[in-house]
Amino acid sequence: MGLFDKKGAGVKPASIPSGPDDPGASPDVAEDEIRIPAALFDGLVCGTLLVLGLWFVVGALRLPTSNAAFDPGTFPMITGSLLILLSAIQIGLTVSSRGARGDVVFQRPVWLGIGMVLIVAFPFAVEAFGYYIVAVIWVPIFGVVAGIRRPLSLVVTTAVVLLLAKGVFEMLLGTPLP
Amino acid sequence: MIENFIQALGLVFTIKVLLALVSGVLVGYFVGAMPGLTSSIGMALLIPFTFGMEPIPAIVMMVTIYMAADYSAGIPAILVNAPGQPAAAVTAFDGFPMSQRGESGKALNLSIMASGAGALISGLLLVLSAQLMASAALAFGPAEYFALAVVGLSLIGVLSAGSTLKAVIGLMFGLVVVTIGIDPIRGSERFVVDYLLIDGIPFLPALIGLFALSEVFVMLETANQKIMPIKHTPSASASFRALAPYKATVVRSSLIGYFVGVVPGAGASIASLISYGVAKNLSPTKDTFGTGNPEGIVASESANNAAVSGALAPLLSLGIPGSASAAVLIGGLTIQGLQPGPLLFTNNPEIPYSIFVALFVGLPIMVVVGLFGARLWVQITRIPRPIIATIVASVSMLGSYAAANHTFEMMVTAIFGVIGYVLRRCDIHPAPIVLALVLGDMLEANLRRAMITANDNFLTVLSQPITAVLIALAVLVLVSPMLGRRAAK
Repeated sequence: MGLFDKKGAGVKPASIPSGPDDPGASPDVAEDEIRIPAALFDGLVCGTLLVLGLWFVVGALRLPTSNAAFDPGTFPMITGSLLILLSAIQIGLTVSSRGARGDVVFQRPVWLGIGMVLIVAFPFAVEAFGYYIVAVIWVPIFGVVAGIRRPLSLVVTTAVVLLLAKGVFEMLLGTPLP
Repeated sequence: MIENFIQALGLVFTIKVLLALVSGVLVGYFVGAMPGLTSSIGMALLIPFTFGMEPIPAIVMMVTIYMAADYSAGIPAILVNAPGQPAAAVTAFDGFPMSQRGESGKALNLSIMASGAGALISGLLLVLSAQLMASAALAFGPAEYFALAVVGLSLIGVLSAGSTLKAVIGLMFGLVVVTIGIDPIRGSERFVVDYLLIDGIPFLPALIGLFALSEVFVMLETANQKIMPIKHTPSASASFRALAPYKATVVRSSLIGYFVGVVPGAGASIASLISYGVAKNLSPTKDTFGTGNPEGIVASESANNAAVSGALAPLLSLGIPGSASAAVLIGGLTIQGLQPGPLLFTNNPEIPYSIFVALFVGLPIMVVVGLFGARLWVQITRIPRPIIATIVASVSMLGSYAAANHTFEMMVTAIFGVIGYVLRRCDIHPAPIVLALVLGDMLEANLRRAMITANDNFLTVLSQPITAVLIALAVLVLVSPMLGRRAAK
């Protein structure tokens, strides 16, 4: 088994189908999935948390100190140290029981990755271009990524989101959207 | 007391006040069901509308918004794992798995019945013990608040569905994250890499990311899955019967909710967490909690609705808000020229008694709207998953923006959504992180205050009577699952 085994590649490439009549239009088609050994995935996540804990501990050491038992850095130092310790224990356990948890399977990995990028990009785009311009473009694109294939569904979903934004958030609740 | 009640009944049963009451319930339902919009935000947004109103309809409308919003926050938590308010996050633990099994109707009906029962029991407690309880809550100093936070954190053992080690890692992650921002005692900046982080990580957007957006990512993966057919939604009478096996849980959770709600600053989220933890601990089927056990919904919803009346006790009798929503209500009372506190019962007894009557009159309206609405709301689960994912993602972003009218909140939601998803795939669930985000500040700030008061002597802090009892309770909560497992072997 490779590090990132692909299953289903060659069955049907994950592509945006042309329309609802296209057999590939249904999101029910077989799509790629990525399998990562759980030991490796857990190790990567806990390793990241360990580094994060280290960053907090180093940052806490640089905070002002006094004669008091609890300084501004004491609490983050304790919790950061515990995060380092527990993450290290988890990495140790993961290595010693390698393969026990099987694989972590990511289905529709390409769509998932694009979806994450779209979500993270959304606030920056709203800040740069304003909510409505971004929403008119972003919502249908995210809809396609989520698996909506019928153009009418995309239009209705976009309209629902815009109506909620204008009617509920702006008009009823007085939230000024950028 | 009886005379005041009779007078209040006459004042509430007028067209104007009843209209305000029904409007309050409907607005509360709406505000609570929108992720990101809390009851306090809804009440604050509607304060300008109360300027021209008479005091009683204005106050009744605000109180019913508060009550209904606390219930309806459980609706999106059950249907799409997107809690409308922080306290409803606990309802999602079992509500969403039930919804995934096609039992969304049963889950929604149970949640409204449990909410109604919680509101009824706590309403009675409020009437009988408002002044007494509020005085007792005043005995809480930093040491007691620190101990209360420790009790909350000790629930980690019962809240962890899988590996306890991973749950504690999640807890520590939350506890380090919560230290970002201004130090609560000295005012020094801690880990502020950008000025936007000066106030720390905003809780509500982080919560929306951890629950709603991480669920959106799961939906992106599972767009191919068939929609689970909806099972029969029970009738109102069947819902009453469905609640019957959980009578003890309802009473216990309502008591927990009320008493935790009385303590200023503790609030519905802590009430729900403690109540859920206790219910799980005492249940013979504790392993099924977190996988769709109806008792989990009952425990959470009874407690968070009971906390509403609890928060009103110190507000009415001492002028101290027990929650953010109660603080907004104080603003509403002040605008009407009323001063909450001991003199309110003497100078304007019609106000507190009208609030008591409004709680009891608004309750059946809330339950009826909830029971009839359940059949409509479960239809949401029939909408194809890709459409739900798109709408939930969009509304989550809008809701987090509305929390502070700033795109920074959206960024926090997006980042915590990705973090929440990655951690979930590593079997580190959002519950322990939320526990830390709720209690982290309370734990650190009160421990440090208590240490200053006790001249840096930790034993002095622990030797306060209420603190000692609460710490002993925390130890009991922490070790009881282990003892239970050992006894089972």
